[in-house]
Amino acid sequence: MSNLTVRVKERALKASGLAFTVGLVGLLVSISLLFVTGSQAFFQSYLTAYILPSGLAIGCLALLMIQHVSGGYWGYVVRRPCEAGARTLPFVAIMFLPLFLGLTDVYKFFPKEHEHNSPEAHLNVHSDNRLWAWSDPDLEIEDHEKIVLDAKKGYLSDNFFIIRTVGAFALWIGMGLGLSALARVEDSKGWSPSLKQSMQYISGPGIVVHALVILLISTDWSMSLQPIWYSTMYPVIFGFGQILSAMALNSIVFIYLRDGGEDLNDSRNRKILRDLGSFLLGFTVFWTYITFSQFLLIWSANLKEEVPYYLARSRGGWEYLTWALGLGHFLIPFLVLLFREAKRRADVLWKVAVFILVMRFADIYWQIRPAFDPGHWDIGLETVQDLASFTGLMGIWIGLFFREVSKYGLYPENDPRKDTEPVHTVADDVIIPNTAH
Amino acid sequence: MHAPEPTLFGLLAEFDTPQALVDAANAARVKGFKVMDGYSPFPVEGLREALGKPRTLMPVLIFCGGLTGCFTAFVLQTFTSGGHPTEWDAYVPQWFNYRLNIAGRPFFSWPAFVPAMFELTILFSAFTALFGMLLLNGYPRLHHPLFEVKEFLRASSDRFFLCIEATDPLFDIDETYAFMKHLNPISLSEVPQ
Repeated sequence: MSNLTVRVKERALKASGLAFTVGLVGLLVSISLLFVTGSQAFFQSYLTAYILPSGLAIGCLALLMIQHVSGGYWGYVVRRPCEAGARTLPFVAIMFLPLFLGLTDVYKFFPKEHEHNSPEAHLNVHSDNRLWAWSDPDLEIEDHEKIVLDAKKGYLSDNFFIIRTVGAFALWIGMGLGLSALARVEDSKGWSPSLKQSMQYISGPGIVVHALVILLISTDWSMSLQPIWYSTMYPVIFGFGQILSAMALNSIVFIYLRDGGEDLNDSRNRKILRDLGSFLLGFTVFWTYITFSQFLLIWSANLKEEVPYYLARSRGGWEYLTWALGLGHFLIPFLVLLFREAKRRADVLWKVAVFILVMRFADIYWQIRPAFDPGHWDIGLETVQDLASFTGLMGIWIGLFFREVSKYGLYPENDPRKDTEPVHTVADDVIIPNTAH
Repeated sequence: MHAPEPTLFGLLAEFDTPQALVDAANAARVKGFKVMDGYSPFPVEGLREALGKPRTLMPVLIFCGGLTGCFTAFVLQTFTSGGHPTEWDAYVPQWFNYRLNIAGRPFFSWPAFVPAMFELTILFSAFTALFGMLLLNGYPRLHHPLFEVKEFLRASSDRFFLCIEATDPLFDIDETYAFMKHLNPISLSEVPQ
């Protein structure tokens, strides 16, 4: 192993150790707060916190499959971190287990009186017992809501929910570990066209399967928190958010692992960084496109079943987060990433990528949290609980991720893309030293 | 040193690889020439820097074009669909306050304006990119002195050219000719004005 490989391994393990420590502290705070804020706040926070780390792992798998099919130099760069992310999927599945309790009367474990005196409580169906209100048989709802929920009973049933989640994880883990196992074969026996074909036979159909699975999972985990509401754009926002998060993570990992060890300013690394930055720019714009079009369609149609989703997020304090998302999730990264220099410079790009990840959490918080507190953002101990749970789950996932990253090096050494160069036709990518002086 | 020939546009050197052109341009820049240009059938990496040319203004122009489009669509829709009725209504043209009551929504319904703002942003950016490129490249122009040189035809297929123009302060027909000869071009031609 070269010095660089050893150094990268050390850096990855260092990040892993730090993240585990922070994560455990967060989780301990979160569990101790369970006795203060009650199990209702705990499980609501846990679900909110779970979506981003799980999305990073799933997004890594999606990116991995896309690059196997599409090719391109960027795929050679992101392959190792994406494989590492995909290998964390079994742990992500284990992290989901407590959430199955959300289908039982989990709020009664550690009951705490919650004042639901919000004048906007009618904006969503509220359950006093369960995380997913549709699962609660003792739901107090109005007649028109009952009609809608009864019609959805066939899909939104406890057993079917469990089958879908378990099935989704089985498929994801199968595809992720399968691709990772083939990568090990490539490492030991060398690259061959038939090996590449096997990877593509998993990845091609895998992308289709993944899209269908995300359709079900986004509906189950997140959209059904507002059981009356529905949006056909939501699965796209949910699934694409994961891919955007994974791309931001890949940019950070690329820069972090090489920082100080190799020259991030040489012409090859600048081209790679520019590719990653361009992905972030394009993905940010696409996120804005799908997020805004969902809003525009619902705003235009103005239907009673659909509009409460946005009403719940446009008053009682949530409107500030809504505007902050427009500014921070779109305008700021968009304007910064428009500059070629910002995309090519490691010290700028990693900051933008971290900022995008933070905004990803803000977006997820905005999607999930108002389902429990429609039209009323109560900042207090429950917010602390949210942040503690997020720190906990995110820290532990990042720890697992970097432990996996440390295992197999920076690049897939037998990938034939090793000998190619990132291609750019734009003329001014190279700076010619002035030979006069 | 005598004054440049008024009938001369410049000297044109022909090279057969992009690298040779970049090296020649580098040498010319180091020598101190400023009014010169490179011609190649495709974008050559590093040629702009080698020629000592500033970065193109296009990104800034396109960004401004996009902003103009976005703003135009916003203003157009805001003023046509209007705000609340005012006492000035009798004095403004009818198209100006063409208020549309769409299912009782506010006249100033900015979410509905966004698709048109987006479209005009793209349209104006694309127009700026196309026409700005043509203008900055010197179009419309019917003729260029370089077309007089027979070898220059291959600039659009497989040859790379460096032209040092007669208006350069350092230009001196004999010395510049000797300098360019020294760069080992395939051919070296005088370009008539």
